[in-house]
Amino acid sequence: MPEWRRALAAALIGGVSACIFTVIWGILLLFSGIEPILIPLQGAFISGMLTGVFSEIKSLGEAKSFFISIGLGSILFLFLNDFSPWNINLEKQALAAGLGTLWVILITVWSTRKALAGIKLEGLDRDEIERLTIRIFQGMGLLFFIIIVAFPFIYMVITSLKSQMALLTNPTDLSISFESGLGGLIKSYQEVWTTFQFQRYIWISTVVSVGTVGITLSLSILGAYSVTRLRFPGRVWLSRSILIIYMFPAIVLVIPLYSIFSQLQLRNSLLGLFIADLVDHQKRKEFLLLLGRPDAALQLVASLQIETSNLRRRHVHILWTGQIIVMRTAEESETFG
Amino acid sequence: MMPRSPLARKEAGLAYALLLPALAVVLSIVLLPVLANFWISFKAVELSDLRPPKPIVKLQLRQWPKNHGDPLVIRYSLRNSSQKLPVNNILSRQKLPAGMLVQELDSRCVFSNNELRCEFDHWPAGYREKIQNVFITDDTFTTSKKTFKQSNIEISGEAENILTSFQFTLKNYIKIFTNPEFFFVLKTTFLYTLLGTLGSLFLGLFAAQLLNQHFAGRGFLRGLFLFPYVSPVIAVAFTWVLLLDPFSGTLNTMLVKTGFLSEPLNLFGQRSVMLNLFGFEVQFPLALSTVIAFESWRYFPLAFLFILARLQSIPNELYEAAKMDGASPIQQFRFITLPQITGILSVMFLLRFIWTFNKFDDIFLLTGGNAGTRTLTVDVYEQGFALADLGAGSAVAVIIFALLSLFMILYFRFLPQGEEESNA
Repeated sequence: MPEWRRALAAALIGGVSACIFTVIWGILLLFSGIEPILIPLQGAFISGMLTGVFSEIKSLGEAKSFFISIGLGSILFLFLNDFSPWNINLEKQALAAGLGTLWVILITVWSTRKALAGIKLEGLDRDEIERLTIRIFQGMGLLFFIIIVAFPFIYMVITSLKSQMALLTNPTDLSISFESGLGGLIKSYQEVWTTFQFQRYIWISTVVSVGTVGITLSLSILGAYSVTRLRFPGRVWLSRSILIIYMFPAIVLVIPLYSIFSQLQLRNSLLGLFIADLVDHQKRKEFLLLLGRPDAALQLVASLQIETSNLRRRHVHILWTGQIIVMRTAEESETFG
Repeated sequence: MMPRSPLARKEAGLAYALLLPALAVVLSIVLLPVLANFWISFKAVELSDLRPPKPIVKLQLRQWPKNHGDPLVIRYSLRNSSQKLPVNNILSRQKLPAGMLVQELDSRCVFSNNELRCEFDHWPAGYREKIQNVFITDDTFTTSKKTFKQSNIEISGEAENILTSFQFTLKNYIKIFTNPEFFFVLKTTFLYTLLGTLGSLFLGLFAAQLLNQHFAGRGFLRGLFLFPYVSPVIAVAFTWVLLLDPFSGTLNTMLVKTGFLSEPLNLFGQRSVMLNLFGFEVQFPLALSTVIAFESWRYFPLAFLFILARLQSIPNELYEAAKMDGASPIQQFRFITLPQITGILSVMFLLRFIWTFNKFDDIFLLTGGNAGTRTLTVDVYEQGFALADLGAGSAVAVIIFALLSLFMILYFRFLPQGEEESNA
């Protein structure tokens, strides 16, 4: 038998992780269109605890205890849930229920072993307890971050592949239907392209951004060179005041620019958009950071830009996802049309 | 002070020449509008005042000649387009077709060389008048009624443009400061800024700690974690709005279906919910909290990246020495990591505080500033465009500017020494 402290830790870790992954599987079932009536937390916790303890019985040997804990854990999990976990009938939807059970138990075993690897817990050693706590936090933290970061983007892509009607009738059903073929899947994209003149918007965006970035870069490279490489009176003062300008919010400039644009009839014109984009915070950020914080900031921003440049390109595809763009273009054509 | 050599002077000259174009652009698109904003904030300008007062004339044919020698009676409706400002020295000119002779002319009009000129000294605000001129036609008159009606009247006048006049008022500031809602807006702004900043820093620190170790898939996760920051705000804001919608949003429906909520929560539209905490009823600001959560989510990657870069530059010997001395992981974090990253944390705090304070688009896209989420920047838009009072909007912008200047002073005062040197 393992040391009782270690067994207790294994039971707790196993119980909690079984609960977490039972909830996650329940949500996945919901998203795939199957409606689980309840999330069986009680059964999950008890079977998870026992699975955790089984997986730590090392006297049987690594592989044996692994298979025994999975087998016993799965049976326990099913038994405690009346053989219909998530209230799904095991006979009717064997895949959803059986796969779910296996997933919960497998991850429970895996995470218990991962968390307790190299930790003996023979005495109350501060170092070991802290290492264990940190590992548990790390595991949960990674899970948390992956979900909060990835889910909105996955959701964005999925909603672009579904019809508005399907989303409204069952908002939790995120399954992609292949029934109407490829044409049905990319309907939103086609609509954006044909009905809402998306080409025109791409063209305007391209012209404006290429133009403003061109102006910004060509001017600021000259300026940045002189601030970083040349000595002249007022250098410190200049870089500091540029930093201050860089901090101005665009909103402070909105009313005067709007007034001037109205009187010069620049509103709703390409030139107006061009100037507004030049004023825009993002552009000023690159523009003035290059000038304002030459050495340290330049390096930081450069590394930031290297990291993001690739992603930005990758991200363009996500930006063009259907539903959101449909809404956006519809709104734009209302405002400008 | 070193005496300046010709070489140094040459270098400085080159530096100024290289800086000149950039500075000219900054001056014209940033500094001038800021000054103009101060100017407008002391003026009673409304959205409609952006169109300057104009004299307007409309032609009406009272009588059309059937035969030669019959009178042609034209009535002109004159009006000043502005209800607030007068128009002066108005001149109207109309080319009339050949074959028309004057019979009766308004005293302010003259007719010569087939051109009718009318001059008026002064039209007060909201001025309206109708004048009538009578002509006789002879046999050279061949114009049809239709073409005559389309004949062009040129009219011009001098009006004071409220934007360039020298009338100033404190009305806007009085209006802002006497409105009790303003102090609520101020409170919301500081809550949003402080909690949004702390939230993004905390998440960033946590994420950086997680990824500051070697495991498979680390590079992929580091890229993934940047997604919220690098994606366009319009896309992520709409995704959040869709996801959290009370009626057709996935999150609400999910929570209701699984029994965590009895009825959906309008996370972006409801000002507050009553919470029962240990028997105390607490008003929890719902929409504001959601907006703060969005802010923390969207901007944690920036803090994450900067903190991770700093963490990776901490020499490993420090940790090894600490291990030798028997320091536990939490002690290592407390006494080595934390002091090493205080610098970047404080710089990130100040920068993010200022940027969050300036943030407009996020809140505007998520809630439109409703449900208790109106911050100062959204208030500028609200006053200036929704309520059409540009002067009041500018006054709020000036207040933002003043607060920001205060933050800048703090920024330079509390900037850690190392950062200051690299900045200089």
